[in-house]
Amino acid sequence: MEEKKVVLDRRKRLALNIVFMALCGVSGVFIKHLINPVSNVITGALHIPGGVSTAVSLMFLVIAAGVTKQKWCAGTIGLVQGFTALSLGMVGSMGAFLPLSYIIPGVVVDLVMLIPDKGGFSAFLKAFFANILASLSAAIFANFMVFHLPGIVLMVYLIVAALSGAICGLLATVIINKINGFLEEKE
Amino acid sequence: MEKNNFKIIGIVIGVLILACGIAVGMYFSTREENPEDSIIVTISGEKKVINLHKLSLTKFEGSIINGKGETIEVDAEGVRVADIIGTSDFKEASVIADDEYSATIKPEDLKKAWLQVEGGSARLIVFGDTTAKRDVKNVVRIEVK
Repeated sequence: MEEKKVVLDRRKRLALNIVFMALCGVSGVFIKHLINPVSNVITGALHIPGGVSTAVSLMFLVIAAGVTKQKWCAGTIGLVQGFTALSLGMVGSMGAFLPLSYIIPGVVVDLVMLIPDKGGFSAFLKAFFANILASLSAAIFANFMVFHLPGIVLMVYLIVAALSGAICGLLATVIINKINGFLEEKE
Repeated sequence: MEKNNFKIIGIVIGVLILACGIAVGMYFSTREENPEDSIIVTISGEKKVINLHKLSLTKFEGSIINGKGETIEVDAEGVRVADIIGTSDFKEASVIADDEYSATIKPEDLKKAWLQVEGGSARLIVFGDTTAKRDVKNVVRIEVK
């Protein structure tokens, strides 16, 4: 059976991109809070203070960047998420630096997505590695600002963050491929 | 092409799982386990095991800020951190949780720092803080320097 494609002109595509970015921004924060109890079970068993749920939240930034193909898309969503969280008073342990914990991983996603599709480094792999590196950058920033973990614990924390980033990255690439599979832009 | 991508992704995830297993194994083999329902207080290299059930608890109350930025009223039982440390002649004390999350207490914080004790676990409460940074749950160690 042949898959039907949705063909959009530039204006409609831009509108769809904005709606999709907003949706991903909200979903990222919502899903992170939703899966926190499950991720706490994993991190509790490993005796580390976090590193799992953030990767799931960042997956939505990668999906947004992969589907909209807009430059600095993930950084923009991170910026909005960060300042929304701050304005709602969700300061957590980072205080006024909270927006940076959203913006930095977003910018990392954007930087990876900006790498030209040359050789074997396809858009597919870029989304995968973007999730890993974003997750790692979020973990490093959280450690610098809040956790200050010693050697071996920091190593476990970073590897768990990278692994959860990799699993979410794989999921992100599959979702991006599915969505892009039925969206087509009219020239 | 896609097959190749999945191969790379599979290798990366495989390597990370292996690295995770090795790191967790190393971490668990070096990790110091506390006796049940107790905290270990280290003062100038000397370790002291404190059983939480043997502490004489005092009622205390006040308000703190939680992770969502909300003000929470605390009405609980516990001990002053000053009573656990037993001295104010120190530079700083690290209060460390089971998951290695830690917060630093300075001598000037002693008047407002409490260990809330409930069901064999301790939680650090520092009144007057504007963030939840020093909200350390499941405290297992206090290292006084």
